[in-house]
Amino acid sequence: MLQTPTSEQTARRRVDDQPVVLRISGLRTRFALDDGVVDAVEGVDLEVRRGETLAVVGESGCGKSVMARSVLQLVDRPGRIVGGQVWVPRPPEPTAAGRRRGWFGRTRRPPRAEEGPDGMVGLVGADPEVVRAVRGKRISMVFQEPMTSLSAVHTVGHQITEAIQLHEPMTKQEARERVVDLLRKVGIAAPEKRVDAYPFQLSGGMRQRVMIAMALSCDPELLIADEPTTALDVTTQAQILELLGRLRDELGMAIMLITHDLGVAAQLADSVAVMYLGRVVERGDLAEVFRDPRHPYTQALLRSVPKLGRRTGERLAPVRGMVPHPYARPSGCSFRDRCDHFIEGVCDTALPPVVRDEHGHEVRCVLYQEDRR
Amino acid sequence: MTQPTATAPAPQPAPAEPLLETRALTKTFPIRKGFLSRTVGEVRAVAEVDLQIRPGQTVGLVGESGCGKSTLGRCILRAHQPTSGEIRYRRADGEVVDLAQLSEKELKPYRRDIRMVFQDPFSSLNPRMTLLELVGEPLLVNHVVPKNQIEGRVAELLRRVGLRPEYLHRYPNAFSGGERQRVGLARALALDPRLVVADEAVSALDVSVRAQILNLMKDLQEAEDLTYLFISHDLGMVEYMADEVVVMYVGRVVETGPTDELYTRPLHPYTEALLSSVPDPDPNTARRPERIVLRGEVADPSDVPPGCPFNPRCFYAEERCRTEVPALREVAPGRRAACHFAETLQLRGIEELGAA
Repeated sequence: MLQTPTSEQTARRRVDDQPVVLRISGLRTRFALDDGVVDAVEGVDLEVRRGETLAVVGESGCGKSVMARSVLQLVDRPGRIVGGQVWVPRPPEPTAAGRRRGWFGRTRRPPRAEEGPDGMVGLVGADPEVVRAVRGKRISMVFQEPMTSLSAVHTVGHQITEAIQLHEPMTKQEARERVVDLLRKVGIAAPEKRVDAYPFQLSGGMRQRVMIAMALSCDPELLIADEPTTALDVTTQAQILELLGRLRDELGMAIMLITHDLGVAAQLADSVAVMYLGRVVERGDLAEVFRDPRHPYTQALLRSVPKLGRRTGERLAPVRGMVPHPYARPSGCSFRDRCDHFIEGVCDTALPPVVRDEHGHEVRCVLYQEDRR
Repeated sequence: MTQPTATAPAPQPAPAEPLLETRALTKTFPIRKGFLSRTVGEVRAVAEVDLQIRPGQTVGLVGESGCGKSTLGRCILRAHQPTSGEIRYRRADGEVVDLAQLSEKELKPYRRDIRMVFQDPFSSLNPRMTLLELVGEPLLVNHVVPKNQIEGRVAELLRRVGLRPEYLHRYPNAFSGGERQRVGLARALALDPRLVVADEAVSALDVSVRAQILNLMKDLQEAEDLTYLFISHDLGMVEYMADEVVVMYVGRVVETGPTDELYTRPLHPYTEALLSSVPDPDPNTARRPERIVLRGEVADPSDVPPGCPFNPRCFYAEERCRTEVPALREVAPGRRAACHFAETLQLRGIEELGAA
């Protein structure tokens, strides 16, 4: 077996007995459009533990962003979660004073949410109050395009203060000090001045830092980073990835990193889930999946990336064809039309089962089924 | 005899005569302010760039956003009028013309020779034109083919870029990003160009499709004896495509050289930092501890720091770098770098940075 850096192995071992901060089971998100139904997420099962970094990789249109938004119940109409559940640790009950009062100051009934195992609650179908207590506080999100996700007419400080005051009883002055602290933590020079800057006065890398500061403002357990570096240059990307890694280790939070760039995933993540057309096709320890990819799609994806320093003169081996149109998914295994190992009568009839080996490396492909070998 | 895909360091020294050469090419944009739009300053997007593109080769132009690589590409096409400098283009008959000085009318024949592939396949194709109109437009405008033969010619072009000729009467909205980029390529190839400027031509595409387009570009280069100026911020793709690499920083060329040499032994600290910040999917090398993470941000081209523009971010900067602008000079045969200490610095290339 190949030598793995020891730091990785210890990181992996440490994570296994940590509490789960997010468990997605059988999540299905559907977009009912005028000319057809798109199942953007079709039964995804994932789990993130405290301190773990999970990378979700896949091409555009594979449903990775919709999956992330579904976690926080942020899917816009006509999208709708039609099945499955998103389990998170029960958020603390809001204090009597902090809880919103109903009409005429009547105390409302306690918020409703599906109870799960290990003291977890389900966010799908829960009262908005429960979702709000989680969103931004326990689980926060960094979006892809920092210019469109920041308000252009409010100062950076104002926007972060808003997030803090929503979740924590703080005066404006205290919140402002906290914001300056946060901006310093994410590596913005002269934070006392930058607090009053508008987003257009900042560069792309700085805006992304502001987004990260905002996401960290309430010490989340889990940070969902949706393509956090895609709009940035390589040198800035390296800075942001280093920052995320450092903050993760300092704050002990978990990260769910959504990216199409396998290199970015390899740099930050402990484990990886490869998505194709709404399904997770392979999941496991990152070093293991990338060294020994099992699903034909993962193999093809890794082959099609030009790697630095592997200039051997050989041609890239691209994945054949293209991602099928979401209205017309192939039956059975959704990758079968582009797969080199297509088996007629098997791959096109039924959805391949998930095969799991002793290390927890999961793959959804008939090639690894016991009785077929 | 030119072997564009050969990867061994120049099996035969490429023909000495460059197809296109820029000399001290400069493009400045004025900054206007106030009611009278008075010019209060200028942005030097491209500053005195000397670039040589030899026929049959692919020259990769890399740098961060805002470094002027797109502006340089557009100046070569004369989509921007350069402020000063020369663009010396060698015509098919061997005569050299300075494209920077020509008027729009005189330029017209050269517009057929130098074509462009744009970055975003979604905004660069007119959604109200069919593929026949899109690809046929350059043929029609330049009166290359009689009208009644255009359809056949377009079908042939589509076949060459791997699209089915039956798609002739469809609109771009029926196609995916990769297919649209093929249409963009067909449009560029319609007039049998000699030089194609590909400005981030595959950056907007998915990884699996990206490799298809890169391979197609390589095949076309071989089949049609094309020369590419491949502009990209992705060093992995540039390594795959280019024979020669030009690294730009804040409008200046900081280093040039044959791809292999430049990647294995960079001569400018900026190149070293760029190479080191490329994320590598190989789990054995991904978390190399000695990764160089640059401080700060790209310098503002309207307010370039004195001395070497890279000095505020450079780990090796000394007093001299803050006062004296380093010139781009030949450090080794075929290798040019703009660094005072290019000879003495021992910079790490991909082999030391990567696994090996």
